[in-house]
Amino acid sequence: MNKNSNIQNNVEETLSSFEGISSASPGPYFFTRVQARLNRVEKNIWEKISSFIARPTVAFAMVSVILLMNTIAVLQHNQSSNFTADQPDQSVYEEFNVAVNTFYDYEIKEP
Amino acid sequence: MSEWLLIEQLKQKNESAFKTIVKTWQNMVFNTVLGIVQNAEDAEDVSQEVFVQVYESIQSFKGESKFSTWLYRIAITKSMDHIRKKKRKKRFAFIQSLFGVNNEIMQDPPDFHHPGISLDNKERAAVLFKAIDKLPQNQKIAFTLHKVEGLSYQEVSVVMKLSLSSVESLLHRAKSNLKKNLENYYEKGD
Repeated sequence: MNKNSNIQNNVEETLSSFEGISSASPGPYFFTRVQARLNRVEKNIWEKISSFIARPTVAFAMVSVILLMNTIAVLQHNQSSNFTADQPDQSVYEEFNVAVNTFYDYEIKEP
Repeated sequence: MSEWLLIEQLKQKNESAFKTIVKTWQNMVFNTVLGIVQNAEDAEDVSQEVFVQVYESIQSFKGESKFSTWLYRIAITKSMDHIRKKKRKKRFAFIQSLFGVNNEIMQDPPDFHHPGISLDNKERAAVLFKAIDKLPQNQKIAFTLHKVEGLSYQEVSVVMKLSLSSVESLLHRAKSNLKKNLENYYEKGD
């Protein structure tokens, strides 16, 4: 009983130990140190960019995007090459005159 | 010079405005950060980061809340980031020690003595800070803002973007958790 009340007293006193607390302040020349840090940050902007790119999540995301773009490009290329193989563009024939001549063409005598 | 004018000048990257802002709010930021990170050196470091962040992102401050509220939010976010980083480092060091890479003996941090506490309450306050450190994040922030920084429930609710009743319940839970922790502490001590 006595032990319990002793514990409760300790708890209450500890909980009220913040009463009358005053504000803490940083060391002298705080602004100078902030300024120095700010300059350091501005100089290290490229380091920041490179460290951002080197983050595993960012690197993985970038690699995934590149792979995805490559896959899309390959698929599209395959589709378009299939299309040209089946149905050659008429303009290509006209441009390069690759139409198959019939034997009638050969029989036409030049005047 | 008015707060609004200072902020407008800081948006133009005016150095003397920045200096005035730092000097005006450095104690508030440092005290808040110190209450959360519970280490003077770390608190100084994090406070510097807070003002660097203020300088860099002042354009995003639209004046919808008070400037001090915005500052409190940055200070809390930076402090929690710092604690997370520290815990990650500790875990990594522990794993390294398991594999024998890092043979340094891991020690618990020493008791934290807040410089604003009177000498009579120094030991008890250190015990209380240790118990606060074990609280869930939101309870810890609310309790620190209320008890260490001296903010009212209303101000805590604005800073934490919570309703007044949520803050009241957070602080109630924080107190009951602290009581349990302290009872355990004193039971073991006796």
